[in-house]
Amino acid sequence: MSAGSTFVFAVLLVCFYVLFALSFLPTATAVSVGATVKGFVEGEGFHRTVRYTVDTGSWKNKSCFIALYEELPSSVYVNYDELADLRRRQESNACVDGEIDVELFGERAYEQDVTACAQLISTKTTLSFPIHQRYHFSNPSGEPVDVTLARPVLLLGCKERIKDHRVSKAKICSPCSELTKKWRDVYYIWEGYNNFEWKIPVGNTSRKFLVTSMTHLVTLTGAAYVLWTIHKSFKVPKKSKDN
Amino acid sequence: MSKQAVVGVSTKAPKVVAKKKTAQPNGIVSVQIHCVIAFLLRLILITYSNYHDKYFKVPYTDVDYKVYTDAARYITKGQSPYDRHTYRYTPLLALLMTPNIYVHQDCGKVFFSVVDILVAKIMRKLLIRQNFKQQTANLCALLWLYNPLAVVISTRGNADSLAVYLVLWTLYLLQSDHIVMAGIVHGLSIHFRLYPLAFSLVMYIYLQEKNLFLPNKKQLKLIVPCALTLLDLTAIFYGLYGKKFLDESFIYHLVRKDVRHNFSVFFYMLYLSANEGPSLVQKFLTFLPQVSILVALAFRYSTKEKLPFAFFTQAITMVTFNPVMTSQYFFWFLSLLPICLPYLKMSLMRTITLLVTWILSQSLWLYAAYLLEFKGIDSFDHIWISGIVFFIVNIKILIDLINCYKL
Repeated sequence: MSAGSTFVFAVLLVCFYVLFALSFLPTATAVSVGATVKGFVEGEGFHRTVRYTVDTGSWKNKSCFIALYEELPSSVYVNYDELADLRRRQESNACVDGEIDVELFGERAYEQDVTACAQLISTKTTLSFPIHQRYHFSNPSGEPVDVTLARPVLLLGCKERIKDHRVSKAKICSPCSELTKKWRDVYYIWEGYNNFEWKIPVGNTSRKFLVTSMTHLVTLTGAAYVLWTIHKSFKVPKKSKDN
Repeated sequence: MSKQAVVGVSTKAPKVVAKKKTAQPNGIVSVQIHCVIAFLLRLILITYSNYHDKYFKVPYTDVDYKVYTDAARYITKGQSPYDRHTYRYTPLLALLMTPNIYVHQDCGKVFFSVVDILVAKIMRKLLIRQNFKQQTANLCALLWLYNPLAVVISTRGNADSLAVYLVLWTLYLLQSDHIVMAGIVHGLSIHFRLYPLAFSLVMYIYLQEKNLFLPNKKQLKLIVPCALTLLDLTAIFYGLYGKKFLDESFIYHLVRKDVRHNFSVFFYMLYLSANEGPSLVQKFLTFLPQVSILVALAFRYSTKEKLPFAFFTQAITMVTFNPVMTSQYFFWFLSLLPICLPYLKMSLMRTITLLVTWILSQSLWLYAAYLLEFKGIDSFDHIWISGIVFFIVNIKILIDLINCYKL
């Protein structure tokens, strides 16, 4: 074999191995996922459940995960420990980042970022998480505080590369963040919502004087009456145990 | 039998034997068998609680039980129980709950149910020590064993059955003249839950002899072990968990300012001033009534036989005048009612009227709170007014109890 043909053979061999190795690399899947999302908030008071139904049309892939990322206003909160409990019971796979103090008033609390995620085993996926209202300081008119939940960001994470969707900048919390290396933003059609805006009742500061004076009047009178009864009981002649 | 002497038909064993009628629990079935039945009833409810929690929106299990269990989980991982947000109890409780992680999630509920049965047994022993007839003591124990509130509270996983057991044990030891041991248990009791601290004054006065200011030997026997127990436990857990232990399990309860809706008569007043905080005058006016009644009761009922009634009325006072009041606080005084019952000479009609009024006034508040919490309706004014009504009812009950207490 001449030196030239040996060289050509060597080049071909290298090309073969390179192509062989490349065949093992993940392929860039050219998918364009078109999804629709419906949102619903269950409950009316301080304790509500946010429920989203994500419909991916005919597209599903068991190696993919779907997530909804939402920034909550400080008027409401998700309980970190409650979510941990739901995850242990496998009732929800939501997680939260941000303010963890559930007792703070709305005005003093930081915001939270909540993510609910699930494996894409069906074309319709329901993601939910419980939320709670925070107490707010009273105001002179007693006007309730408005709460509006923003629309969530829909994310898709697959083991395969997805070319048509850009990598999301959303800060996904653990354990959702561990499901896939990259989460990608997915455009979706919002199919309506229900109860995403509501009002939180607050106290009326203009009644503070009335409330304070009446409360003290009642408690001091009550205490005086009890003290007088105790005093009076000293004077009661002791009865024999046999009576 | 007179119309008055109905509720507390008490008979002291050696003095009155057969003249007064004493309701008998059941001539055949012994108290021990009732304990077994009551425990089985609790086990059934614990089993049901799992079903209920799975299928109902409002869970049966107490939210605090999840807090204890989470705190226990942290302990099993070698972390601090105070890593669990809102865990505000002794680390001992989290330690006791570690079987929830290692064995089964309901172990804690079973443990509280066992303690509940022990509460009934110690009530019976206390009454027998006070020379009441076996039947009277048994009847009072049965009132606890089958008290729906006690059954539900322990099976929901509330730890207060343990707190009330420690209070009753202290009382029993004191009545049995085991003063040093009473001091130790009282220290443990205060470490476990802060409220028994209020019983300290009456216990101290009870041991008073001719001394006025300086403590006598008996009083020292109570104070020193109590203080040492409290200090030792505090030092141990401070060493283990640092300042967070002190902040969460002691200081928080002393300066607690929870202004979210609760049964307290002070709730709305404190909520309206939450932004700027209550003034010194307001603080003084809030605590003055409570402290003055607690002191008066301590001096009034400090003899040996009156000691249970002192604890009972002081517990009612603490709960009634507290700036924060939740339904679990009722357990503190309801657990002391059976041991005072034989001394209460109240007509049946008055008893029923008071009981119904107490339940109705609570329901009134609960309805207003339901509108706010579950319907999102502004019902703050209703909550405030029903809080005042509930306070007045509690005061009326306290006054009637004092008037009907006959030793």
